[in-house]
Amino acid sequence: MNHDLITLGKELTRTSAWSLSASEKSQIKSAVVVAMHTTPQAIPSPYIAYFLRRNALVALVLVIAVLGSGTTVAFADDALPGDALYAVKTQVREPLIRAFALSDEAKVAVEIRQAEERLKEVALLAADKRPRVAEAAENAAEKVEQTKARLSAFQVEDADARFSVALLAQADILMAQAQGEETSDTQSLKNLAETAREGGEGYTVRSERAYALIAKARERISERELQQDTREALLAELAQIEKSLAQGSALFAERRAYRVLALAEAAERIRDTAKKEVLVRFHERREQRELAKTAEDPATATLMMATSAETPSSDEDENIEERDKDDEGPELEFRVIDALSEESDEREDDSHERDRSGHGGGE
Amino acid sequence: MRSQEREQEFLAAYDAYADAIFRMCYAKTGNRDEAKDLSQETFVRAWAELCKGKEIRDMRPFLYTVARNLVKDYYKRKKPVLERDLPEGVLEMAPSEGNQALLAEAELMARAVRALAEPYRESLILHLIEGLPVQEIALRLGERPNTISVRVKRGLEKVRSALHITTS
Repeated sequence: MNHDLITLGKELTRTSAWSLSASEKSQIKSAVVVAMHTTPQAIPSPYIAYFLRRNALVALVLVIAVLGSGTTVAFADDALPGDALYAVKTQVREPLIRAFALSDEAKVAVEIRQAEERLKEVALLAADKRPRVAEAAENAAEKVEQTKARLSAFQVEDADARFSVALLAQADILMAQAQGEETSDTQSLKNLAETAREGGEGYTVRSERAYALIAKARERISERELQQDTREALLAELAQIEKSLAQGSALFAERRAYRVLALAEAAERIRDTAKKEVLVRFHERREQRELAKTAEDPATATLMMATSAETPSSDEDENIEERDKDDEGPELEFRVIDALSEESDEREDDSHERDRSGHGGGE
Repeated sequence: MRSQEREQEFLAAYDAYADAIFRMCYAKTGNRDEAKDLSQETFVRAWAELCKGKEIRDMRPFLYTVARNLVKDYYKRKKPVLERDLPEGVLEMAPSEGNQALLAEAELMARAVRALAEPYRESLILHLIEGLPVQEIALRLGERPNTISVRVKRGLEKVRSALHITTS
């Protein structure tokens, strides 16, 4: 026994038997995370708390559900504020997904996707005319700020830029929905769109990302059932973007391409959630005011929008109006119409048929 | 939102202290699987305490306390196992891992430490396995430095004599 005991101890802790491997560490972590969410106080909804406390097996199921795919928890991905499974979505599944994102790259993607999801939820609630829009909009705004702050902690190039593009696209859609008659909900939408827009200021542009987004959007549009006019409008817009890219004007191409992708997704989800069709059109900017006058149609939920802030209520938007509107792409018209005219209580019946891949938009 | 921050904080504590807690559990039980279970349970219990509204000023000593109590419970549940029956340690190390002779000695030392009675064992684990000075151990265990100093000294004597006997 010639060695100092402390040296021996050091030697020992360096061996694999005495340390947790990275996978062991994250395995235990995920188990802890699941347990954390089954601890009563961590869960706001009494229903969920009851459900989870009943059986430790549930925790196991949750882990499997996250690691694998499908089952109840993946189900929760489509839940909106006010739904029974919404707590599972935000309190269980999302933290787990965050915990499983190991690389900085993956973490950034997850953060962006989850923040974007908060914005999408608000749009969906509004399209379906459900309550809680204001509350959800506040949460979303908070989440945007948080994510903005958090992204700077990662050493990932373009993290901010990607988030900005996502924010601007969602802001456009929200702004479009907020057009028409003024209610407290539309005011919430507008406020949220403003927050998202401010968060999206000052990003850099990569034309290769724009090309990738165009390809992705095109694939998405061809795969899904969309209203015919909407499909054509989206494809035409993509062709336009490609053209301006080819001419060397990449400045807003990425943003416009992402907007198409976000629109396709919003249309699909509104169709699934609210059983309503979405009409999308693009207009040259100058026609915008005239269209706003003629498109009023009380029988439909009319959602018109300007990509920039030309609404009378927004007087603090100087910096937005200063942007080069020609490059920002055409005005967007986004209308939700009751084409399927089913009652909302049938929603649950076919919720199992819903497409659950609706989260790829952010990558 | 408040609870989300608390969660983030707690998970950060996990990232920071999980390894140390694991080593402590392993040092005490000599069984990796048990040590993993105990580490996991430590964090789950700690979180439950937090949720009950317990005010925790310093996470690390708190985690140690929880882990220590869990290990105690573990020994109450388990029948005592003779050290020589444990199929652990040097045997399961890959041959490429460093100096085998040194590791063999180190493993013997770990067994000698594991065989100590409390409260010596715990102080010695922190001192030898975690390589902490007396002051730091006192801080983590919430004891006076003098107390720990005495424990470490006596514990070291015991380990040395145990090793002398087993290795001679």
